[in-house]
Amino acid sequence: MTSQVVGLKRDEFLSDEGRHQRRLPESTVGHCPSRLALLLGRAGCSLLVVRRALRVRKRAQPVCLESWGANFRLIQSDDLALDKPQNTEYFTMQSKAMTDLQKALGDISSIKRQVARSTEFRGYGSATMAGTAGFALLAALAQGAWVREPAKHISEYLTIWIWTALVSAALIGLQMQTRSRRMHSGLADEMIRIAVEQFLPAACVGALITVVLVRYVADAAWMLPGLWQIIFSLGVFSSCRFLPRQMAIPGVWYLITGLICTSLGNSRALSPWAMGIAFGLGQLLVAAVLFFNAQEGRGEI
Amino acid sequence: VKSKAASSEGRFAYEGLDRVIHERARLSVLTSLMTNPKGLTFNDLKQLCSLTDGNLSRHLRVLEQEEMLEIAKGHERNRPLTVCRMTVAGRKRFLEYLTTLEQVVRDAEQVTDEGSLTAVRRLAVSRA
Repeated sequence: MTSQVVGLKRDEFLSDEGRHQRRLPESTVGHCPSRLALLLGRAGCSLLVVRRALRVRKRAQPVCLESWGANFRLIQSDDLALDKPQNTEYFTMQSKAMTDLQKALGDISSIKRQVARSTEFRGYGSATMAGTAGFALLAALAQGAWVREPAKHISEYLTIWIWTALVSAALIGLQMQTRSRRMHSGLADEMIRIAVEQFLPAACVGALITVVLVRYVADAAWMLPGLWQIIFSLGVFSSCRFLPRQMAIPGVWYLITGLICTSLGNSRALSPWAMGIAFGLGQLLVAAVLFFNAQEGRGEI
Repeated sequence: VKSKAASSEGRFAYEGLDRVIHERARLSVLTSLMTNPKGLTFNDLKQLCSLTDGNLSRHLRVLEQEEMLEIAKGHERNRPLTVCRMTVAGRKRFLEYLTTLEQVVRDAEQVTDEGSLTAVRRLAVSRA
């Protein structure tokens, strides 16, 4: 048998766990490391096969087991047991190798996470944000044309604005995926995850509060536009540390418009322009901040 | 076997494993700088990476020659202050390196995992 098997040189194997060589005399185990690598490297095998291949005497077996314990997993199970009693034990190269590999993967992920947390997110595009501003203005026009009295037709009002929100979110999500891959390459998944993590709570609260108000406190449905804007501002604020610093400006805008909307105190808050102006100008502000920062940080990851 | 090998040619070449980054001390220097995009002072780096002055200087010089980081020498309160910062090219190279390294570990994990599964299946078959 040659000393190089399954891509593992005998010397490399020994250098990794040199103590095995010292503890097990060459005469007892023969070409132990290379044969063991060949036997166990891919499939594992029964103890009997290991013993025969390594020409290990039966009484030397406990020494081998003790010595290899750190590198190889010994499976003893009724399910795996073969007919012959000496085959009831089963070796496979696992334990330490798997733990090390998983630890290495964990370390790499941790480095990536740290890098992602200190990197500015560039997955939001200014053109898409400006597009969503356009959607908001179109929705306001549509509401003005088709839902004359939104307080009496709250479901139509909701349909228009929920569809606008869904289409905008889908567009932003789609662009976030493609743009992040281009701008952040290896960090893209981590960056997208963080971006979603930061904004998702606000989106969920907005959706839940809509359900609760419409279903249980229909008289207070006029509060929805104000609440949406305030909750949206919280989402913008929580995403701020991951985005250009100036992103706080649109956050303040949404907070102010939300408070004004709520202060109207009645169904006037359901007016098409209460939403149209707030989200139309707000998203344009977001687009402007992204645009000017993209100019400054061109080429950065 | 030949065609299979040909089809997966270069599968394990790992071209992205950059020798410059692969050195342990340089890897820790770059990771520290990646997580501090505004840069770190020489002393901060020395402490974060547990390196001596001479060692750190040598590694910083190598990385600077590769244009992976920029070193700004100035003064603060009449004291010399050296600040190191990753360049855009350095960040890109480091991320490519990390991605390749992750692939290497995943490949190794897959082989180990498959080995274990095949073994268990083989046993089950032989028992049946």
